[in-house]
Amino acid sequence: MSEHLSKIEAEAYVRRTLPPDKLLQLDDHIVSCTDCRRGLVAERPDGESGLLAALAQPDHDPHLSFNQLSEYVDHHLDEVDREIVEHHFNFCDLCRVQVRDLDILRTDIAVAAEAADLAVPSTTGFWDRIRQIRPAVFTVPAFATLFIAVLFAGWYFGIRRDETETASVLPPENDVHVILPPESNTSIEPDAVPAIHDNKAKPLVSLNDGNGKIDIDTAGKVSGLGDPRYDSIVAGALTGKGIEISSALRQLKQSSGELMGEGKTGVPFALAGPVGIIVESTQPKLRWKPLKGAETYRVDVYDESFNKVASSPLITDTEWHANVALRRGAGYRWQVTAVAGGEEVKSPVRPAPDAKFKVLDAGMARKLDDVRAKHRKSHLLLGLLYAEAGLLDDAAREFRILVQKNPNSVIARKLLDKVKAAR
Amino acid sequence: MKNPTGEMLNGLLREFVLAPDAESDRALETLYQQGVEPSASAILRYKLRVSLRADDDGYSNQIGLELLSEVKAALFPVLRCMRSEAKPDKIENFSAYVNAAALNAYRQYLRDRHPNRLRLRNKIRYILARRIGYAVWKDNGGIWLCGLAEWQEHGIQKVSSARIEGLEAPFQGHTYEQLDHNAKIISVIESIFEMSKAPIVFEEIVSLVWDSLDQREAQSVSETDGVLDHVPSKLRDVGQQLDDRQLLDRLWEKTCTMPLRHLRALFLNLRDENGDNLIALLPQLGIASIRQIAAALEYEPEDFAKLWAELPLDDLTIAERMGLTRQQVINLRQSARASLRRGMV
Repeated sequence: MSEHLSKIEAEAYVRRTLPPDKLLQLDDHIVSCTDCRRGLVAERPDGESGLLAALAQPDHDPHLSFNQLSEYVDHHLDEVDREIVEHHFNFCDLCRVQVRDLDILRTDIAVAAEAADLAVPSTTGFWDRIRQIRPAVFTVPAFATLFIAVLFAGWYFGIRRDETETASVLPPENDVHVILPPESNTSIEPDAVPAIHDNKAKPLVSLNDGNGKIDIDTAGKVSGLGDPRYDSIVAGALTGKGIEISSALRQLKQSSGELMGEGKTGVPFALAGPVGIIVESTQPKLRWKPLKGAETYRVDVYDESFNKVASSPLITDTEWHANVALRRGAGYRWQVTAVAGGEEVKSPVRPAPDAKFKVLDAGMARKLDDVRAKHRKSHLLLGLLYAEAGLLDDAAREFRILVQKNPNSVIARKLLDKVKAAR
Repeated sequence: MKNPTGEMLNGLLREFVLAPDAESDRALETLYQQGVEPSASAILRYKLRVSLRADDDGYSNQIGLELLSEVKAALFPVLRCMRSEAKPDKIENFSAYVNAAALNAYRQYLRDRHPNRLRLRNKIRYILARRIGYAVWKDNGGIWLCGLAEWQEHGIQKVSSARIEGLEAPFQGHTYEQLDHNAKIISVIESIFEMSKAPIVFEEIVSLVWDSLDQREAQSVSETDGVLDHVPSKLRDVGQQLDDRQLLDRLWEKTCTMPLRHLRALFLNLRDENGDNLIALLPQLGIASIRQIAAALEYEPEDFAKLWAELPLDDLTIAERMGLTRQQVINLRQSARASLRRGMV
């Protein structure tokens, strides 16, 4: 359409009484015609300032509240509220610093609490009962020796059957374990303590987790979690069937190590991460090591088809939060361009491999949200799901706490080792 | 002056909004003197521990008076808008609104002038809220107290100000070199509770920990962002170097980097103070065509053109369309505005 709007058309356009197709047709003209636009805005001389105010006038405290920060750190926010918080981090250093403070503090408090839990002596464990009968045992040294020898042999061969891990001597505070059925390759659990004269079903394996214990009995029934949806994954881990680690990681990890250390061909300065991993946030933080003499950096993020999807402004920091929400389930590559002495230096470049990462898919992200909301104290379940999602640092953190709570558990240690080996 | 009740404040507001023009200045003065000022002063006095007397030339008191002026200035355009619309009930709880404005001014002041103290304050609050056995609660006078959870359960009285001063001494020169920073904070809090054996006003424990750990603020603290963020009346100053049109072009560019939900919450409700549609100005000013707006909001142009006549939508309608709650829509829009605001600075 090349003709200017008639008076009637202009009125109808302003009053928004045009049918959709006509509206679009006139609008296509208006946007390219200064004369028509001048006529339209004449009735609203304060239009620009009004629009400015409506778009950017702050009508509230411009920073995140303490509750937003703390609930973000505790993973209590739903997807929308998390998006609000993460979007805010794009432009607010102050809130980003504070959330980092609280995140570190959260871990410190959790570790302190775990340590406090561990410091509380068990008063009902097997070794307590042993201590209670100690005088009688000591009066029959031969019986005591035999008893301990049998116990140790059962425990030792149970472990050797499963793995080459070196077994440590059982500390007196901890309880003894059951012998596993021969078809299972699970080791004896030093922390699993079936009551000797208990009439209830005896747990095959028992781990301290959350506010209590998670058990699996000889029939494979899991108790203590209270959520049947996750029984099978927990049962698999407790019976030594292994844990699932995201297969997408393998491909991502190929050659990624070469990007983490500088000085390699094509890596003038190292990329700290994410490289070769899966990230949970849709706006991950990208970090790299400084290049000597660099004044500024620019980061570019590309999708799997090499389309640029995000680009930072020139920054002096050596980290940057992606400024757009990346697509869940998609893989990305990123590259940093340093400007030093007026010259651009890119890292990585060929022949070094691409710096790749993948954003956690939506289904798994929802699953993790659910587990964090309902089972945030179950380090076992959280660790297993983080591993399944490919978030191995998070999985290792959870399993580390699990090991602290179960210092003599071969299974807890094995879970941690498997995740560490996969990193 | 006595702190006005919410009912009284709403009454004063109604009188101002509905007053004949000849009496509006007097009604506004009364609203400020008997309503806004005492309410905001109570918050600032408590937070800053100042008198707010004009003849008190102490540094903190002067800061307090400055903040009080900012609160009053920030409320003025809101009141003017309510009067022009003759809608005294536009803000249901004006007392809460004034309190929030005063709290925001105080928080902004903390961020601008005392960023490290604010960080410590948040850490302490997090520790008290998350650590088993600790609690933070409000007493009958609305003062935030903290301490052992059992103190709250048993209604133990808070520590007096005189005893608080006594608590400060033992921590002077106490060394925590072997502990990392968070462990130091936790350790000091534990020590304070061991000594106090009773609840402490939250702001006082922040001061005690701050002093005990010998914390300092950095020498230079940028004030620009915070002040600009906080005082709406200064919005225009931001654009001194750019004309409105250039600013609008920049804002439109900025919106393209915003998450979709943010964008929809903002644009589907874009209206001026009188509730009139503003989104129609985007094509009229040549900033973006309807097709471009539709693309940004991820609508088919034809679908968006059908919606065009209905804009602006109210929050509830937007919430239903997006499968969110009304509050989430409001929060998304506030977040969008805050990010655009930063894009202008």
